[in-house]
Amino acid sequence: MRFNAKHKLLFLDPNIDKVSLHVEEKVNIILSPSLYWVKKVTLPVSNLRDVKKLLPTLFEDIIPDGVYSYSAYKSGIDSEYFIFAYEDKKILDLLVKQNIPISNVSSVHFAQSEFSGIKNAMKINERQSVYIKDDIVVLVPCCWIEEKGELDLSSITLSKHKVSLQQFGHIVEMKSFYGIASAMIVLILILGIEVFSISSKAQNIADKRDNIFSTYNLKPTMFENNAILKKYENIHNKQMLFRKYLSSILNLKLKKDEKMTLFNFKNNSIKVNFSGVLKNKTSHISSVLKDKGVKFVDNYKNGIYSLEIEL
Amino acid sequence: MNRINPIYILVLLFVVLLVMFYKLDSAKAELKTNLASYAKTENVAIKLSSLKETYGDKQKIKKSLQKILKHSSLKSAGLNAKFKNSSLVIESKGIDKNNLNFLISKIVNSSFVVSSMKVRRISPSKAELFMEIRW
Repeated sequence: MRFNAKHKLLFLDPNIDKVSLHVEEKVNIILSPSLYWVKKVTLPVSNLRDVKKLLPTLFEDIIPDGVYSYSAYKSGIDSEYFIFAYEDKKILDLLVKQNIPISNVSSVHFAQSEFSGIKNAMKINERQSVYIKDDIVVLVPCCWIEEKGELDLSSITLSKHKVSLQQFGHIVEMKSFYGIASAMIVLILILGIEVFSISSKAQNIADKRDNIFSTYNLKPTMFENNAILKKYENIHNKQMLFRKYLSSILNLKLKKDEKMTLFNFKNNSIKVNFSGVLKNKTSHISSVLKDKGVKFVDNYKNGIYSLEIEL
Repeated sequence: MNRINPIYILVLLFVVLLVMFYKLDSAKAELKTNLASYAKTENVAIKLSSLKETYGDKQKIKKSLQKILKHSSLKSAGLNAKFKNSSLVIESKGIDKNNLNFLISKIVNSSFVVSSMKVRRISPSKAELFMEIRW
């Protein structure tokens, strides 16, 4: 049993008059029997958690359709339980009607658990009374029974049996919410692992790229390396061309009196002179070179046939 | 008893999910960039290393040239070879055609950088030669 002396105790019923509370005043609520459904049941289970799983089924055919929350506690006798079904929205709407912010509600209890100790019918307010019938707290209009007195709420010591109101149960079904939220969390975790894995791979590759610099003894920047590579590629290409053209020229089949008198390679340019070549009979040289893809400029002067080739 | 609206939690999770998708996208882009950069660097490194070994190893080039010039076939060629800091100049006023063929085939079949070469015929069996090889 817990005594909460700090907070005002309020019996919440649709028929009570409007209560006046200070803005920040905290209240403990005792729910009127008209705000919940209650049953006393005997079940062959010893664990309260197992009982709670059965509650929707136990109320299934008894209560009207609606969005219900369920609660239960042991009656004190083995395997005997008080089980409850209540509509959070109905209670919350009543709190709103009473101008009680949900943030000011310290705890919510059932009249069943809080008034179970009364001996006779007791007047709870101007219009209603409570009494116990077959261990169940019942709410009746005042005139139905003869009361032995008025129930003083300030003398009530609250039990540990309290419930939490699901403020959004009517908007999002909690099962769906947990399902969606769980799926999203799992997805976030999978994505997180994926991001971590890909980032590690990216970092690993960046490290491997850095290692290339030391392995191949490269310059610190790619700009320098590209410039050096370009220089060497240029040298390589020119040298390959020089050898290709030299080979093409040396493989020319000259006629009997024809001679190559000069081969001069300088500043990426090749000049070749032939003597003994007849002016109009140069095609056996020029056409062969053209077929081999050698680009040249030729001229004939003073009996000398000259070719100029640019690399 | 003041609870957080579950819708807010779902919205928060959704925002986190969007952030994670964005992070995943960024990580994939980074991986792609790094892979491309790695491939490019490796390609440059391999090419550069190979070309440097061919054209940039001065000692190896000098040794190879000295070996060619000392070859028995060229002993009687009367070549005038001058090694400079970054080049070799080979000159001859009258090299025999067989020696000339031997020398040119040795030079062009190796990976020397021939910067200039002049061969002038002076008789049916002799020629004047000027050749410069750089490194």
